[in-house]
Parts: sequence; structure tokens; C-alpha cells
Amino acid sequence: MRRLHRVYGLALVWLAMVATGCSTDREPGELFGTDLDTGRLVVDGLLIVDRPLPGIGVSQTIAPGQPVTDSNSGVPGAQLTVTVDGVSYAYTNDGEIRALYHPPANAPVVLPGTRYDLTIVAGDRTATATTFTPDRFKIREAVLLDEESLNVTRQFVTYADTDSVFDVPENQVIYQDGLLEARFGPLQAAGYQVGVLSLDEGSPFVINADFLEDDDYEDFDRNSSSPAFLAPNGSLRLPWFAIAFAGRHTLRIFAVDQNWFDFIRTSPKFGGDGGFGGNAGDNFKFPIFNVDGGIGVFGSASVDSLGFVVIPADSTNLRPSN
Amino acid sequence: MRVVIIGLAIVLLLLGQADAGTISGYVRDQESGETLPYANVVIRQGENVLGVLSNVEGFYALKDAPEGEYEMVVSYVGYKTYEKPLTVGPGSLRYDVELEPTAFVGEEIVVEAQRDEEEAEVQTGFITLPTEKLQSLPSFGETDILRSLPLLPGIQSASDISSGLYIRGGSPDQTLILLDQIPLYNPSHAFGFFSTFNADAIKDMSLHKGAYPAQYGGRLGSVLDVRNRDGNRKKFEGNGGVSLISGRLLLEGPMKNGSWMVSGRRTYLDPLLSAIRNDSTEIPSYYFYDSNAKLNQDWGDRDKLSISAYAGRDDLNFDLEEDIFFTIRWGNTAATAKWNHIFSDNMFWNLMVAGSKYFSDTNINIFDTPILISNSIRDFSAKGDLDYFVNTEHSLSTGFLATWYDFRFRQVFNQDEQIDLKETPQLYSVYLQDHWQPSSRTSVRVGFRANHFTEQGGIRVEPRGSFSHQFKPKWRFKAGGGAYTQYLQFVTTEAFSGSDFWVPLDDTVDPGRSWQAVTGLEYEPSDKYKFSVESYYTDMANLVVIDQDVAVDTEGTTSEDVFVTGGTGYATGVELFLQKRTGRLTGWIGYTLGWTRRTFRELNSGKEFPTKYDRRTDVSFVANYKVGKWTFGSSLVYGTGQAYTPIVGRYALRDPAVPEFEIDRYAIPGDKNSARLLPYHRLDLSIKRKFGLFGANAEWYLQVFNAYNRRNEWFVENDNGGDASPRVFKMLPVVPTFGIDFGF
Repeated sequence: MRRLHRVYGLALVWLAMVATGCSTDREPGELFGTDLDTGRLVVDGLLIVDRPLPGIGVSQTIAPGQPVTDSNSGVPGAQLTVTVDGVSYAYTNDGEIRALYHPPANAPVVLPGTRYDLTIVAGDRTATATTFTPDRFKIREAVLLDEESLNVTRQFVTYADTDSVFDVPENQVIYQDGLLEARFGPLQAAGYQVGVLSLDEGSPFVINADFLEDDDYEDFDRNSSSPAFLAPNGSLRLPWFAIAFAGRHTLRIFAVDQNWFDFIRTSPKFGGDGGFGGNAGDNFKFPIFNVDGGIGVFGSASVDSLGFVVIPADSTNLRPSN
Repeated sequence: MRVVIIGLAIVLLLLGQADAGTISGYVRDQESGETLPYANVVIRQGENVLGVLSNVEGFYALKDAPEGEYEMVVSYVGYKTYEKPLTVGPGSLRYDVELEPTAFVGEEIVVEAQRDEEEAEVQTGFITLPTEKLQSLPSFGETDILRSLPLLPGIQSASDISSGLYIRGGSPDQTLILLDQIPLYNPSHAFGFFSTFNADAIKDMSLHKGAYPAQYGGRLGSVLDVRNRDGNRKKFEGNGGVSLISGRLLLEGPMKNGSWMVSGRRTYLDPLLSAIRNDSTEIPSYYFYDSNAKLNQDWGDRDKLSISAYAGRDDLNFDLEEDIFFTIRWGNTAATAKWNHIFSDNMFWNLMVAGSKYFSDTNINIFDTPILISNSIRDFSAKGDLDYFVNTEHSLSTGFLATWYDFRFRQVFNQDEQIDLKETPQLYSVYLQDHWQPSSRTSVRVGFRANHFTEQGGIRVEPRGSFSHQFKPKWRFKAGGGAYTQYLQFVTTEAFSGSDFWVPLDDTVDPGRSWQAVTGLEYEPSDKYKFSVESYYTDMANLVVIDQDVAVDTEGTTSEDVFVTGGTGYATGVELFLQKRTGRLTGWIGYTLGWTRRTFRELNSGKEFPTKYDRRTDVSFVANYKVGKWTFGSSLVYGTGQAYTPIVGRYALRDPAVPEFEIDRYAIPGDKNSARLLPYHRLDLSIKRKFGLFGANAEWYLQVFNAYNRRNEWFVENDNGGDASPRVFKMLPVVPTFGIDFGF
């Protein structure tokens, strides 16, 4: 009898352990490292050929466990200069946005094939970086291909042809009907990146998937960017999964310099864990920045755009967007 | 080439020796007729003892035995020792021996079979788990050798759902896995959840954890050599089982001068999943199967032909929407034809031709954007091994291997062929090895292996050696070492296997190389207990890992283009192993203290880092208790938590392509793998009971995986694109399973 009680007792203890689970829950903060990386200068400067020198962001790294905001990461009071052809342009802080610095009024337009040097001095911290701007970039033609034969079924009208690219019938695209391809000539650039912008705020979703929850739909951004491409054939093909909304879209294709390219090809955000072999291995790592004394991007690109309108294949039961 | 010629010259020189007074033959299981590798064969005449081990095919030869009256003693743990008088005269004597298995059930004495024990006395780091032992261990649903091996010291798995083996600090691709001497490129089902080995069909499984001998090659770390059953030569038999996951059946029996065996296993999850699938549920369709077949035929006393085949496949279909689906299919197919020939009473020849194919196809369609990742390896091999029992002191082994590979890797994105890599390298290897036993207490094995891989050019010679000496009656010292080269690289995720692929390394990088040194001490106070301690050190160079920073549409397909190269590393540690081998209660305690480090100039700022699977401490307790028809099993494991890279800071940057709309938050990684998850521990339990089922022998079992429901940590996901805290993914909770095994 005593033995039976002992067995029941053990069984109850076991059931209690199973029911509650041998907990391994712990506070998220316990997972952070102890050797913190804070106070390092973060540069955010993107020069676009044929456009004025841009505003440049200067912030710093902060401890984990808190959201990054302008108030806890912005670095006001820094001395920031951009030098081109021996002439330095001193930037001034925005005042309201702590991290933002504006170029002087006499700042020139960014030239192709030119070296730009950045120097930031913030107290005892100094960060420097250099970019070599790529050549001017032009989309030669944009076409729609047949999915099976890959033959051209339609030629798009580009901004070079007309300003009203969204109105011409050639640029009305039925969702998932064919493959959209942009073609361009060889260029002196490290690589390419594509930005997709959905211009009609409030246009409905063209995607419709039962397995997606409401929260999932809210995660779809109207503006998104691609991983890094080398485009060895001088062409880029738009995947349909990059389009989520109906209406007018602009495709920005950037021919980027080495700094920009290194950042997007190594950043987890842009598929730096992709490439040959997919997501193999441990993908949590620092991107390549090419900034001395700090991190971030001081890069340059030339850009051309393509406009088109996405028409749902079936306009009934479209899911509205916010 | 000079080395090969010298080796062959030695063989020919020895061939010329006289073979008078030679006793040779096969050692077999009396009940099934299966040959018994590494059996201890001895003839005694008073104080004079002459002995030899049978080879891997169960063949032995005792040469130059003086004429006279002897006692023939053949022993093999798990079998009754064979003792008969024997008269040795001039000339040769064919003497096949059949050993009677020890009764297990219904007797008070229970002996735990420990195959290949004699081989373990010679070779460091050599262990085995016999099939009957495997089947008594608690497992997850099915008996699985790859999932059971981590209960032994020096062996780890990546997770609860991985059958990938991390042996003495080596990654899974550094272990050569052979099934009937054919390499299996992906030995897993269900993304690593199960191995491709059907335990019913396995005859013998041996593992060289390190410093493996010259007859093997091609991997930096270790060798798992699995051999399927030949089939029962005496009577028709069958066994099988049903579990929650799959059903399996093995049939075997005699045929004229030989035997046959067929086995199959298949999951039945797919009809169950199909039954509960409807328009509102997203449930994938999945199945795997594997099958083995073998035919053995004797042609006279000296020739034996065997043909074997293996086929296994996994198939996952997930149709979410008309324009969203993915399928992953992978599998191995292999076939061999093997000819054993006894040239003379002391010379045994094995010639094998084999072909195998591994494929892995991943098809993904996301909103009408197709993505294909495809990998296939076809190989054809010719392999020859010659065992020459020179005399009672020397056994010489030599052989060759020629393999023709056909690799292909394709990556197609949105109908754009981004990568189409085709390679057709060839690997040629020869080896020569002498097993010298200067006394009954001392054993020396020295040899070399020479390789030529056409993608790399040149010949690489790898010396191998081991030494064993019984310096006191119950004490044995062992040491071993060798150099190793690896030409093929496996690319996989550490979480699960599915779209994994193999690629050969070309001449833009040097092949991986390692050298290993192992020392060990064994103490065996009685048949009941055995204690061993082994230390190991492995030095690795020319390591590669996939370069994740290569652009998705890279044109470069050389090894230098797609791998981070030039890595170095080492693994070192100490293993303790205490076994209780007889009695109703059997089991072991294993302990490993280890360090595993890697250094790559392009990773972790060039600083040395521990691998994810670096474990300082690993302990396992395994116990089985047999009483009557009942068997109770338990295993408890404890290990240092897996290494991970922690977050040490945050920063923000604009999205370059849409900078006016998006600001991205990033996490800063600390030193690579500088933090640890919580320690891993788990208790598994099993109860089995034998019973009669329609006249057949049967056994039901109930197993509880992770009995106290420890939610062990699996990996940390760091939110690279936001401010969210890291998330820890957990491994499996408590999982009870049950099933029935039967035999007739």
C-alpha cells in the first residue's frame, strides 16, 4: 500500500512537471550581450547623380533594449563637411531633427564619375568616408515578356518618351500577366538596387491569400526595396511578389557605388543572408560599411525610373487597404 | 604514384610466400548465417597461442601454424564461445565456424552484445551500437541510429529535430556516412527528424570518431559505417512494426547457396493530413519512404556475390494558394554489386562497383514568382580491397577506390537562370595498411592513403596509424592519428536539412585538411564493467563556409567566388565512458569536456570564435533494466547551452532605395557565438513488453520523449529590422509515442 502511494505520488509530481513545463522562459534583456557597442558614429548619406548634395544623418549607436529614436541617437553639434574637387562644403544641423545636417545653399549638383569625401567631427570622435559616383544611368527599354516563351509581348513607354506614363495603354499591366523586365546598357557601377513605390494611397490589395491574417496585411509596405543585384545581362526582372497593391507604381532602379552595394549585399535587411546557398548558416552579422571611425553608409547612385499601373486580374472582392 | 608502386610491390612480395599450415574460413551466426566481422579467432596449444581477427566480411586466416594438436577458440561477445579440438597438418584447411547466440530472454544472465569489441581494442575512437542495443534505447517514435548516437560521449546533435551528427567538434559534413560501403549524401528524412537508416535492416554499425584507418577517406573527421543484413541463410523470417509515424516490414530468407532480404518503411502521415485538410486549413502533404534489398549468392567455397540496393525519398507539398506553393523533394538511390573471392587460404578479395544518386529540388512559387533551387550528385565507383593474412603477426590490407562524380547546382529566380553549376570531377584513392601484432598484448596498425582529385590536381598522401598495448592484465593504452583531406563541401542550415546541397571544391581553393591525434586508456576489471578515457586533438585548415554576401545573381561559380575560404580551427577534449555491460541492469555514463574553435579572416573581425555546437560539458546517463518480458529504458542528457551571437547595440539607417519613406532599425552583433543559451537537459523513458501475437513474437512499447517537459532553447532570432527584443525558439516539449514491433 505504501509502495502504491509512492507510485501515485511520483506520477502526480511528473504530471505537474509536464503540465507546467520545465520552464526556460527568461527576460529578453538576458539575451543581450554584456560588452555593449554604444556611442559609435553612424553616417547616413546618399548622393544621387544630377541632384543637389543631400542632407546627411549623423547619429550614434545605443544600447539594446530600447527603440532607436532621434532623441536618443541623434548627434547634434558635429562638424560635417563634404569635399569635392578640393572644395569643402560645411553642413549645418537641422535644429529640430538632431541627427539631420543640411548642405549649404551654394552646394553643387552631384556629378557622375566624381569623388566625394565626407568628414564628421563630433567631440573626440571622427568619421570619414569616400564615395565615387557612378555613371549616369538610363533604362534603355522596359518590356513585358510571355511567361513561357520569354518573348516580348509589349514595350512600355518610359519617362524619356512622355511625362504621362501612367495614362498610356502600354503601361497598364494586369497583375501576374507576364514578366516585367527593364533593360539597360553596361555601366560603370558596382551593382544595382530597385525600389518599388505604390503611389496611390488607399488603393486595394491585388494579393489575396487565405492564409494571411489581418496583421499580415498591415505589414505590407507601399514602398519597398530589393536586394543587391549584379545584373550581368544588363536587365532586371520584377518579381510579382514585389507588388501588393493596385494602381500606379514607380520602379526606381539605382546603379550604385561600392559603398551602397556593399551595404545592401551584406545587410540582413536586404537579403544579405541570401545569395548562393540561400539562408545557410548563421546570418546575424555586421554589414560592410566602408566608414572609417564609424558605421553607416556614405554612398552614391544614379537612378532612372519606370512608371506603370497595376490592374487587378479580377476586380471583384478586392481587399481594401488602410 | 611511386608510393602506389612500392605498395603493390610489397603485396606481390608477400604473395610469393608459402601458405602451408594455414587455417581459414568464415565466422557466422549459427541461427541466421550472417557473417561476423572482427571475431576473435585463436588456436591454443598449451602456452602457445596464435590468434587473428576476422575481417569486415567475417573471413579469417591463420597462417604458418606449426603442425600439431590445438584447441580452436572463436569468441564474439554476445555469442557462446566456440571451443573444439583441431589438428593442424601441412597445407591448408578450410574451417568455417558458426557461433551460437547467447540467450537473452528467460534467463537470469543477460549479456549485452558488444560487436566489434576486438576491433575497439586496436583502434582509438572506435565504438559501435548494435541493433539490439539501439532498439532498447528510448527514442522518438522510431529506433534511429543517428538520433541515438549522441548518447555516446563526443557526439552531439544540433537539436531535438536534427539527425546531423557533430562528432568531436566536426560539422556533419565532416563525417563520412556509408551504407554498405556507399556514401550517403543526405542521411536524413523529415528535415533531419529521422535518419534514412531503417533499424530493422541494419546488421552492423561501427563509428570511428576520429583517427580513422586508411581504408576510409574523404572526410576531415569521422566515419559511420553501416552495413545492412545479408538475409537469413537458414530460414524464412520477417519482422516489422507500426508506430505513430510509420510502418515497416523486413523479410529475409535462404535461397540456393545464399540469402535474400527486402525491407521497406513508409510514413502514413499523408493520408491523415489529407483527411483533415480542407479549404480553410493550410496543411502540407508530406511523406517519406526508404527501402533496402539484398541478394547473396555463394559460388563454390571461394566466391560470393552480393547485390544490394537502397532507395529513399522525401516529398513535401504545400499548396497555400493557386499562386503560392512550395515543394521540397530529396532522396538517395544507390545500388552495389560486390564480389568476394578467396584467392588463397590467406588472401581475401572484395571488389565492388556502385552507383548512387542524390537529389534535392526546392520549388517555390510566391505570388506567381517561381524560384527553383536544385542540386544533384550522381556518382559511379569501383572499389577493391585485398586482405592478406601474412602470418600470425601481420595482416596486410590494400585497396583502391575510383569515383566519377556528376554534380549540378541550379538556381533559377523568376525564370532567370542565375546559377547553373556543373562539375564532373573524379577521385582516385589507394591505400595500404599493415596490422602488426608483435605479441598477444600489442597491436600496431600503420598505413597510408593517397588521393588524386581531378578538380585539384596533384596527389595527397595521408599517413594513418594506431597503437594498442595491454600493459597490465586489465589495462590497455591506445593511441592513434592521421591526416585527412576533404574535397566536397556541404552547404546546409544548422536548423534543419531540406534544400541542402553538395559542391566539389575546385582548384581556386585548397581542399580542407585535418590531422588528428587520439590517446586512450581502458580499464576492464571484469566482463561486467568497462571504463575508458580518451583525449583528442584535431587541427583543421583550409576550411570554407558559404559566403552569404555574394549577390543573388552572381555570375561567379568558382569555389573562391562563393565560399569564405582559408579557415582554420581545432577541436580538443576528453571523453570518459563507464559501461555496465552484463546483468539485468545495463547502461553507461558518458562525459565529454570539449572545445571547438574556428578562425576566418573575413568573419568576426578575424578573431577566433567557438562554433555554435561548441559544448564545454556533455553528460549522458543511459540505463536499461530487463526483467522477464519487460524492458525499462531511460536516458538523461545534460549539455552546455548552444553558442549564439548576442545583440550589443542598435542603430538606425534610411532604406537607400526609398529613403524618404523607410527608416530601418538594426541590431549590432557582438563577438560571434560569444553568448550561451541555457543548458540543455532531457530525460527520455521507455517501457517495452514482449507478448505473443497470432503465434508470432511481438513487443509493444511506450516511450516518453522529454519526460519532464524541459523546454530547451533551440536558437535565438534577432530582429534585424526593428527594435524588438530577441526571441528564443524552443525545442520539443514532452512527446509520448507508442507502437508495436513483431517478428515471425
